Amino acid sequence: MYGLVNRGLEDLIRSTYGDATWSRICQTRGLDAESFSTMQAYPDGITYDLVGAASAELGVPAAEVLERFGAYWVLYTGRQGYGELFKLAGRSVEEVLGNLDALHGRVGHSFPAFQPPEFTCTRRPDGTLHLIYRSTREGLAPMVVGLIRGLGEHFQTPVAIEHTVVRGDGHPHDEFVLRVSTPQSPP
Amino acid sequence: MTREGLGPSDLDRVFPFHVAVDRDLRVTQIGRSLAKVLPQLAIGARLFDVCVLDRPREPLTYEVLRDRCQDLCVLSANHHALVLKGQIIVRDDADVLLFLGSPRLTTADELSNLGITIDDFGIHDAIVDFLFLSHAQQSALAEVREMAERLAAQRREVREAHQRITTLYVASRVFADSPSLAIALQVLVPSLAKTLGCTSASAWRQQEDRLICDIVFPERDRIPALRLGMSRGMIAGIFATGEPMWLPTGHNLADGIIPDPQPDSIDPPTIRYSGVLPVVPVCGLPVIDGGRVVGVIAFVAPTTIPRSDDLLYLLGEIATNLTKFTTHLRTTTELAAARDAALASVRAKTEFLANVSHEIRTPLSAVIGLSTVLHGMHLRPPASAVIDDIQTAGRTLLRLVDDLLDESRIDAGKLSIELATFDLVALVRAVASPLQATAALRNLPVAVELAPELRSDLIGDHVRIGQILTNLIGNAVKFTQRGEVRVRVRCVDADATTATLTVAVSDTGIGINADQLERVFEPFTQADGSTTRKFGGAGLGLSITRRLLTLMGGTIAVTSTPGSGSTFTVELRLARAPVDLAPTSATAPGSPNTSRTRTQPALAPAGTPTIAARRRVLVVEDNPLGQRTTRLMIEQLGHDVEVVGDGAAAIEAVRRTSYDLVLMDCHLPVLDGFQATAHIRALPAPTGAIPIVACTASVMIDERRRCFAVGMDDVVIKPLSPAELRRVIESTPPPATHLPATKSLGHVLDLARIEMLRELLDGNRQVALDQMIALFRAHAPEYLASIEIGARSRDLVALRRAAHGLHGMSLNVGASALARACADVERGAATGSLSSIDPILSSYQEVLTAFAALVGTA
Repeated sequence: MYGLVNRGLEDLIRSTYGDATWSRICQTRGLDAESFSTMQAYPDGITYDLVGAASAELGVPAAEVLERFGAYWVLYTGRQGYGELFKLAGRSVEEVLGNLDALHGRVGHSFPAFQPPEFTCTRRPDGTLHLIYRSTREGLAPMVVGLIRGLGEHFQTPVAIEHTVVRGDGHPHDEFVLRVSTPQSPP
Repeated sequence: MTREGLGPSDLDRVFPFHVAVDRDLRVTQIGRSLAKVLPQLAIGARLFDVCVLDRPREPLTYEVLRDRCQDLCVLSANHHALVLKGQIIVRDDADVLLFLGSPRLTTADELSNLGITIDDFGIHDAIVDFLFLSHAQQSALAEVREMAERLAAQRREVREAHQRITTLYVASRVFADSPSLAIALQVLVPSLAKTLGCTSASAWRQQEDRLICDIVFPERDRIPALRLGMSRGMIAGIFATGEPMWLPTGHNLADGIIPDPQPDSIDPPTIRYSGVLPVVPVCGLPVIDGGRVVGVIAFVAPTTIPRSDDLLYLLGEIATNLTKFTTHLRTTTELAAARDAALASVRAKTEFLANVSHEIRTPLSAVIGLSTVLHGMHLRPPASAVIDDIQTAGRTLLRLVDDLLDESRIDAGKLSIELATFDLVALVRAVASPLQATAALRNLPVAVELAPELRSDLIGDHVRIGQILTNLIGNAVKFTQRGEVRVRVRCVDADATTATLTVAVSDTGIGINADQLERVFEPFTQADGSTTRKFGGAGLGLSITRRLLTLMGGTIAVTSTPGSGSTFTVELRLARAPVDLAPTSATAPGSPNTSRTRTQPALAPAGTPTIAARRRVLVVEDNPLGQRTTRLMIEQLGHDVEVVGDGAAAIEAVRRTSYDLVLMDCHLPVLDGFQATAHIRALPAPTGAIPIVACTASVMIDERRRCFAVGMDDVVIKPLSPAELRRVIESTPPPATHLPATKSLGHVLDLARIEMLRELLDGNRQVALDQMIALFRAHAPEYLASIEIGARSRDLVALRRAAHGLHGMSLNVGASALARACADVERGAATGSLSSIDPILSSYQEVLTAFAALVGTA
């Protein structure tokens, strides 16, 4: 994964739990606390390792770390100057979810080693959204949950998330059913 | 549309920003995204009413568009941020122009102004990808900039840390190497200026109510007669607070300012730098000595430097180290003074004791010597009893003086342990015997138990071991009225090279209280103050005993029950003599003093059967009493004696007359004994080779060494007992046996072997060689006696064995000629014939002479 992801995780830990916590997490994995460059691709193992170390250090399950990270990712990328590009994806939760796949596809030009996930979002007759998430990586579904929650917070739109299909046991991907409420106030 | 062409809905999906116009440039068709962004460009609207042609820079007409359809076309919306970039396509079927384009965007910000989202673009449209790429590039650039800044900051930190470390290192080196504060400051001030990056530095101290500058670096910055007041300025501030200081910024001075003739008015004090640029002191630190600020070091830079906690900390560190340095200097100076005083006191005490020894021993020699002479005159009672008392009192006094001397010599580190092979059994008996006799007068038995495993082949200082035994047994006898004294000597551990002995001396005497037990080994201490009055003695015996044992690596312990008695137990580990050189019989000859290095005269071997031939002795002695005593004793021994009073007279005498022996006092008028001996040794043989024995009251080891250094053969200590005198005189070869000194050393000795011995016996080569020679001298006479007896009695077996023994021993010490002579006799005896032993006897004498020449030659 690109250094941007690791830096995002670093930013989450530093801003939420302090610099010392991040230093300890890196130390347990023999990593330099200030070593990630956003534009460089790093082995996925490092990211998984950091999530594992953070889970141990913070005493929360890895899935929860990933979910928090997913929610934080929206904020982080926005702060990193991707905010305007993010607007390109849409002005509502539904619009963004609809353009999420295109957004990831476009990013590939900037990050040649990028292996983007695929998202397919369709509106169902009952008004709920059906989101299919496909990825070459495993175990990141909690991050998608966090991401959706983060989007909801960003647009001040409550979203109920139901993880209807869990990857594995014959299921090649994850599926979610989302119930998006009316925005509480314009974003 | 042609079959290959796109239908309107496909066109809209692929090119959502397209627009089609007719000949009048009226809009006939428009893409959904363009219509969304630019609603005024509706169907029927004229293109030139809504847009202008940016490229090509020509009027927006049908013809221009048609003719320039190969070129890039840029349309700008009037009063709108939208700029479209694309290409014109001329449709074949009608006079219609189709513009296929997309918004020209350079930053993501423009997107939100236009209100478009990602699905407003055709999928093939790379503009969005370009925006992401562009952003990624910006982001990477920002990151590189941030990294460069971080790197620069780190470099700055490293540079500063290096500067601090260098500064501290320089300071620590200065403190380590400087013998005084003044010298330290001379080096420190310029060094610190350089490492701190300052252009100038100075050291200040207080003189009355002014501060004066002692050191300025560089010297050209010195302003003669510059004085500072104590009330204002950084330097005065440091004096007042004793803390390092860092001047706040803002003291920028105009160019060309010359110090005010009234320096008090200058604040901060200025120092001209290179005659052009005025500067201000930027920081400084105090010099603290003995808890007081005694000076200030001030640093100057061309510009003020912003305050830095690190630099203040650094200055504080240097100031702390400087304080430690001054404290250390002070302590060192005080310690050195105390040490010098203590050493001087010890030296004075030692010298005093040595002088007292000399002064006491000289008249004491006369008292004992003259009383001995009187004793020899067989006076009638009660005169004879009085003489005995005088002798006893004299000897007691002498022992006391000797104890004091031993104590002072140990104090001065001048008492050395001299090693030689000795017979422990004989030594214990020799020491115990006179004490047993004394005790017997009081009906006090002194039992001596010698364990059967005790060895005779031990190496140690038998004189000192004898002294220890005398002290312990003597004390036991002295403090025991009834009961008995028991001496037990055991060998508790032994291997091929060493043996560990214990000597336990127990008595049934008065005993020692528990609280006094610890102090009995302290000098000048007796168990009870009244002991001295009752039993006599100076309380030095046990102290000397323990200190001697410590020197020999031994220990002493005491157990005691008051009223029942005490037991002193000595443990001592001694080396065993090498097998080849050990005496063959279990008992070594007579006196324990069989092989004492140096005290054994380098003349003829003790124990050699000699006829007491009449010798001619020259006594060199300046003290008339001493002259008379020695003369009388020598005459009583039946030898001829002549006496001279100084060294020069001695040289004259030996030139004029042939003597068998010179007894030389060391401290003489005109020429002293050392100079006289050196002169005599420079004379040609046989006069130059005459045996000379030093006769001195000094027992200091240095003096003995000096005697041997100038070529004396032996040293005896005054007062001389008749027995000692007899030994010295009669060990001199009788006149008839004097050998012409014709044979060279190489003829007698295997010099290569001698050199090898010197190499082998590592450490003090000469001393080791001397010990080998001493061992030879000690043990060869026995073999010689057996050879003589064997030859006389024609006992070929005994002769062969003795010749074999001497042969081996001679080879060991490199006496090659003697070894050959022995081998001849041995071979003869083996084949049943009795060869003449004369070659052995003559070779033996040659070896002794050769050894005498070797001894003391390094």
